[in-house]
Amino acid sequence: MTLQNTNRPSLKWRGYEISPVAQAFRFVPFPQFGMIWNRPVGVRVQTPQGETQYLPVYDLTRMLQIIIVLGGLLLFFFLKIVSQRRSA
Amino acid sequence: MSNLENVENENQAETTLPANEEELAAAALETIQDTMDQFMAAADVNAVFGETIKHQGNLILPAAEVVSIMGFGIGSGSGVSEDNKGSGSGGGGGGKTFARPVAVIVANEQGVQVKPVVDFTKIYLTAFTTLAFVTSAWLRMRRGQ
Repeated sequence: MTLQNTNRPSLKWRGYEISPVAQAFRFVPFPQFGMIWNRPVGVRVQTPQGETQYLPVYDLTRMLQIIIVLGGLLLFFFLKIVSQRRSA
Repeated sequence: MSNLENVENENQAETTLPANEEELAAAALETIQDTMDQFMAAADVNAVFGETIKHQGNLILPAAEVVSIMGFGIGSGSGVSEDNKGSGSGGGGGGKTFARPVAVIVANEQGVQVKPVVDFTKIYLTAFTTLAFVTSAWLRMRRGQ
């Protein structure tokens, strides 16, 4: 099981130097099976003035999905507590 | 079938089967190697960041999440009965690669921006599934009272 950050060779555009960063998670428990999860994590940008910035890449779809599921679970527990109090 | 023919057939099988099996094994190994190469390519940074697009003074770089799953198995065996003997081997495998757009990196005169890609279909499906789960659980709780 490994987690590895990899940089793509930087791109130059109008004085900006853009270097995308990806993170690969490899899970190979035995030679006959394997899984790789590779996702973008950010972009390193060097401005024409020489400043270096790091722009993170957020997976908004997944974040919203997690928020909805957690909200649903909270609502479920809230309803459970309310119904238990009413029956008591 | 006479004994002589039996012996001839057995000899033929002994001479042709191993060569055939070697070819099959080589082909299977080649297929497995190709599949492994394709599988490992999913871990490459170029699988996540696509080709750059230049459009109206903008540089666009698409970024996606890539998930690759693969598995295979091989087996062999042999058996002997009163009349026959034989051996065999086989294998199989499968895999799937999923890719989903996550963001688009845009570089223009204003600077470099990361613009997220939102899949509303997935969000609606998650919301409906969660709502269905909460509603059914709540109805079950009400019936139990």
